[in-house]
Amino acid sequence: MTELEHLPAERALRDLETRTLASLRDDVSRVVYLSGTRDYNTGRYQHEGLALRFGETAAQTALASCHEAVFRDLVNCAMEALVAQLAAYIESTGADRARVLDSWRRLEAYRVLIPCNCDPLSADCFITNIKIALEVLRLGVAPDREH
Amino acid sequence: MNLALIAGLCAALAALVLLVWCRSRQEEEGWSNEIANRPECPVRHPDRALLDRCLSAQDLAFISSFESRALLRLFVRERRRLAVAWLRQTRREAQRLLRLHVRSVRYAADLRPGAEVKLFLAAGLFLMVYGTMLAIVSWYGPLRTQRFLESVQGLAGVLSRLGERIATGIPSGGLPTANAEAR
Repeated sequence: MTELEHLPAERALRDLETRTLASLRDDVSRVVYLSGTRDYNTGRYQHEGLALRFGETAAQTALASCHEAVFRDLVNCAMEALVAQLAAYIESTGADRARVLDSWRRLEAYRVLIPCNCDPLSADCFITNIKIALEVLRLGVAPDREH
Repeated sequence: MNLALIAGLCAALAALVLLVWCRSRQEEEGWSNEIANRPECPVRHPDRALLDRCLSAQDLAFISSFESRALLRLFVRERRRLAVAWLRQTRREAQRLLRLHVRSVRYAADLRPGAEVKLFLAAGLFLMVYGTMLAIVSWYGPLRTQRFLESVQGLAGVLSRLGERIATGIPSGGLPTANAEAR
């Protein structure tokens, strides 16, 4: 065990990664989950379980760090993989696919998935990629490919 | 008569291009000066992986496989826009770094002329590669072969290395922490 792993924030991060995030299917689901733990008014993350075990500051740091890392992976992920992940996520919501696509395109709800400390260029790249992925899905011919 | 008309049109077009160029330069310089006046702001080159993603041949092949002209047009337009934004931000950061350096060494007693010349050459080369890349990237769309993308990515590597050389050639004492992400 390294010295860093003894730090509460580091332990909170490991706990979050191995228990919660590992059970989620892909990065789109993870980023939706992580941004969902954030208060939209204050930008602060809220996770009672983590805060109780590791303290408020450690939980805050772990959630922010995880959010940024997963988001970065998503920005750098190939378009084909992004389309597949987005399709799987929409499928997992159980809602009508056309309706979800229409709502995402009109409301641009995916903007809330961006972490607070993200640089503008990465945020722009993410928004553009999601817009293109939604267009691909809207075509309705997205082939099922293995990743 | 016809010749005079053509010459007049050419002059008007040239004046228009010059005007647009001057305005965009003024806007960029205004932004740049504003940031440069905040020396506490850390220098941060944009992530190289972002440009590689913008010019990804794999993504292009995937989008092309749908055979939708509208989708391909949207994809190419957006990726070109992002690539240009990446280039401009890289240049702005390099210029900001140089401005801060000039400000800090203006009255320095231990100025090393050799190092300053090296830095000046790296900056000149950086601007040359930047200009070339900007011109090439604007052709992304009509030109989008694998070889084209590989050439642009190769130049991006050169640009990133030059950016790094500029950052490392400047003593960190009078500068904010250089958080160069360029690889």
